[in-house]
Amino acid sequence: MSKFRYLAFAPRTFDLLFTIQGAIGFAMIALRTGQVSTVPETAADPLVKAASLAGLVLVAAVVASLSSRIDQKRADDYMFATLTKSAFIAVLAMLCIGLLWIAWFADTFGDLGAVSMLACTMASWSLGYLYTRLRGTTA
Amino acid sequence: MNNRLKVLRAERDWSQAELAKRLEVSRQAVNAIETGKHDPSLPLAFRIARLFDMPIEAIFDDRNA
Repeated sequence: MSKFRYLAFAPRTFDLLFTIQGAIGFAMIALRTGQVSTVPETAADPLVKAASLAGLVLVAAVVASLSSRIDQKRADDYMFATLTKSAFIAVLAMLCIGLLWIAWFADTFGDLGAVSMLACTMASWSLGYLYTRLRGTTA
Repeated sequence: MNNRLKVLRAERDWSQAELAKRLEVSRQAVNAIETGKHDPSLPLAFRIARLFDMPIEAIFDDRNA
């Protein structure tokens, strides 16, 4: 194992990265609270909006797939399992957050917004990572 | 899954770091496997078996998991 690979994909490196990511995520949630979401002055063409979103999903999925291949090759067995499990926790958490927000909070507080969604994803991925590092990939 | 990794490592007087180096994984990976917090993938289980020159089922036991 090369020195670079060892340092770049070492558990301690990911611990640091996810600590920073979690701190940024929670800071974004705290700072976003109470801010009104900006609404574009002209209503977007629904077709263009849908096409843009679909394109983004496609590109992001391809990039994420390729980057996961790199992680799988470079990170060791345990770290890759930790990363995938924590990502799975984050995705499930985001689905729950989105659904619960729509069901219970959207009428009172408005839409969640893209920045808040991003912040929640970052925070929940970090919490998922912390849980997996403490309890293991089999918990 | 239960495993005998800690015993086998102790028999050879290897530290977790030394075993990790031989397996080309992190020390945390060895610790997680020894404490049952991580089940290794099949390729890593084969590497472990080869290193100790034993069949996989002599190291890992899924019957009492």
